[in-house]
Amino acid sequence: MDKKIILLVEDNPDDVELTMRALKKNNIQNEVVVARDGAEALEYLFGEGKYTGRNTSVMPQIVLLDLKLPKVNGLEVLQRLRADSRTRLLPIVILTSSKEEQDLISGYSLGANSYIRKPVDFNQFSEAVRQLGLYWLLLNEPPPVQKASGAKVKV
Amino acid sequence: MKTKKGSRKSAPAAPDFRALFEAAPDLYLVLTPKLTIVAVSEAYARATMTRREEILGRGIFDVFPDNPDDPATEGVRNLRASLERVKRDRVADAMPVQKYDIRRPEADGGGFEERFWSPVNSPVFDSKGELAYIIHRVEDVTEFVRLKQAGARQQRLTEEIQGKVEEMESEVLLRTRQVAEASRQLKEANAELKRSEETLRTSEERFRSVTETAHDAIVMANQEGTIIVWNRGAQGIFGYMAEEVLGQPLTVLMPERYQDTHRKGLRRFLQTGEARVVGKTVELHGIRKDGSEFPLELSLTSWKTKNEIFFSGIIRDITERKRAEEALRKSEEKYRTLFDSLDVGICTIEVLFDGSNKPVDYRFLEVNSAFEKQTGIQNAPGRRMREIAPLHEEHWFEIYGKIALTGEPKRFENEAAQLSRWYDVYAFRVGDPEKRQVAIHFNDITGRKQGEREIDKLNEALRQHAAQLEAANKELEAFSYSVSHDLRAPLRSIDGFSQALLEDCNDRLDESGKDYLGRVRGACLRMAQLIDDLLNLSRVSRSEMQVERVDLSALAREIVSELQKQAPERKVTFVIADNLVREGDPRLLRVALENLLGNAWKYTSKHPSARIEFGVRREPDGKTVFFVRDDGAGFDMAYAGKLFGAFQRLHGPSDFPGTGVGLATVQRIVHRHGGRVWAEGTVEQGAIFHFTL
Repeated sequence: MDKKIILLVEDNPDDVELTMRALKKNNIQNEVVVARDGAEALEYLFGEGKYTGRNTSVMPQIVLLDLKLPKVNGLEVLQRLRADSRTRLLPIVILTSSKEEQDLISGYSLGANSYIRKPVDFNQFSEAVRQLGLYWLLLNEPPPVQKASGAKVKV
Repeated sequence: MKTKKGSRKSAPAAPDFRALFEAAPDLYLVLTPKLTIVAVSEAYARATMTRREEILGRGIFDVFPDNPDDPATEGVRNLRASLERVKRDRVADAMPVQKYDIRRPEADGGGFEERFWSPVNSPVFDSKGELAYIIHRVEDVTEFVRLKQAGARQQRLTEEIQGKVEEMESEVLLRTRQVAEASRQLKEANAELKRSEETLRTSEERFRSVTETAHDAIVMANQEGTIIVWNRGAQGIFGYMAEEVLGQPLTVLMPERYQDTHRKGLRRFLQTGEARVVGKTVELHGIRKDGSEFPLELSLTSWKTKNEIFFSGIIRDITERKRAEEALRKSEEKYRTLFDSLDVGICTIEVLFDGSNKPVDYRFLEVNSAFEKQTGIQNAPGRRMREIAPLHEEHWFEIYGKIALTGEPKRFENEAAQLSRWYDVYAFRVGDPEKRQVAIHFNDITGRKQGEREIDKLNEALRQHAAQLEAANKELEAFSYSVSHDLRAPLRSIDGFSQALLEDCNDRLDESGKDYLGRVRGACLRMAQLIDDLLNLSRVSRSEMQVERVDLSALAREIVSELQKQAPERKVTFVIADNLVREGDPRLLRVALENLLGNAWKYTSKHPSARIEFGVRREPDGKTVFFVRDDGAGFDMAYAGKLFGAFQRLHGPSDFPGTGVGLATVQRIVHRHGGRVWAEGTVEQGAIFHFTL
């Protein structure tokens, strides 16, 4: 089964709802896993905590990462993912409210693949989600699956 | 008797001793122990201009008294002493050469004749060993002595030094007599005479050589004030050769004004011995041969021979010394004037130490005029600092003490609280280190110090202000960040779910319901725009300036081409001046131009065609003023003051969209570049925005 999972890291339930609506509206039917904060996102990706035992060889096709998150914020998540060989190449799109310069610089510096500011206008947001799905789920070739542990790959 | 007769007859005839004696060629006189003349040789009588029959039986001193006209004569005394010695010692006594004048017979004119004699007195004893007679034998050495004296006089006339020799000789003669008087060790006396003569000769040689080689003038004069000695030094100083001045009065060497005083002084000295100049060194003036006057220093002494007084003067030309003294005096005067006219306070002090070399006080020695003004201390010289200001800070004494001991100069600023002043001081040791004197240059810098304190205070206030600003800025930063993330999220929800309602419940909503939701969504978008503009405005204020050369003309063209893409159908003529290049932050300047050109674009949108110009002009004061001019809606100048306030709008959103942040942003940017922005406009005739950078 070639499941192309979308990991949505988003604490605001309204935004989760609107994102789901936009995906649905654009006929993107991939499985969406929602993490409510940064810590949960890391647990999912590394098969820890409540995701202990998850088959970590299955990685999402794309991570939509908000920046302002409880517990572990988006930039910290990004940093942790890029520091680990299993998620080093994982496509990550920052999807957030701000376009503060400091966020843009930090996001790209830490290895984000893309940075999208959520428009207030839902129609525009919907359009953004459509293009995002089209690009990352269909056009983009994902990196090969990382099976080995980080240490081994690094050597 | 018979025996006598017989014996007399039996012996050859005895010579007539009396006749023999009396005819002896030498000069003999025979005296009894009582000094009565009992025999005399013919030669003696002749030599003394006496006749035998007149002198026999008379006392010798009755016949040969002292010359009453010669007060110095010692003939009788010396002869008597010699005869007494013979009587006492019973041995012959040779007398040194004697002056013993003799009486001329009345027939030959009377009076005395000067005679010199060399006498020897010998005792004659009778059969019992008693002194029977004294033979007084003399030699007339008058001629010899006269010759010698004549020679000496001549010498004195030709060379006064010899005069001294002669004086010495006569002195030696006298001394020799005294020595002979005291003892008969004539040999010793002679040896001494020899030594004395040698000494005299040496000293005379030395005197002559000193006199001749001395640079100083050595001039001697007799008691008439006539010049009798003139050395080479005198010739050099006065310009006269010896032969020109010897025999001349001393007054030829003096300016007229001294001459009278000189004559009177000379007379007084000779009469009373009162010396005003003699024995002293005085400064006077002299006259050279060429008539020029010069300052001199005279040391005058006098000396006496038996009959005369002489003066010797050592004269030094002190023209140079006087000139040097004058120069020094002038120089000192100059420095004193300088010292007193300087603004800077100057004083010299003597640092006072206690037994353990700890500086405890100092005494003022000299101060200049500025000193009082700078310190407020009057009559400082001679007074001690502790006496003037008992509370004067310890560090002053320590610093000056250290300078006095080590000689290391020091510059410092210090407070003198009791004088309520601050000083900038440069101090250094002067003179002999033993004296522990320090010179101090100082300036009252109280005013400057107060200014500095004022500045420090202001700086401190400024620092606090800056810190507060910094804190405020940080807060604003955090606030903006938060706004940027959190204020938009609810708007998305409002808009998103309004849209969802419109989509999902479309059939259950009537027209006004749909209209209301449309308004909700419009308000959301406006609010989102406001938030974005606000953030931009704040970003313009807080972002770091990155200054570089910016081509404003190129920037304007880029902006214009973007505007034209938005509405290609519009007929707008853009006139953009070339080469408008300025130093500035390119991003901020872009934002400013975007707003100005965007406004011009927007407010001309209701006109069928428009002209928008970006140019530059030069003000009379040389400043460059940029402007953006349009011929659009314009504005009422009455509201010009409100143009640049945030959220101030002169047009309703239904006429022209906007949030009222654009010009506020422009103003911030221009201000950040140190410039100014202002506007002119007329309703429906366009607006012109001016700015400097």
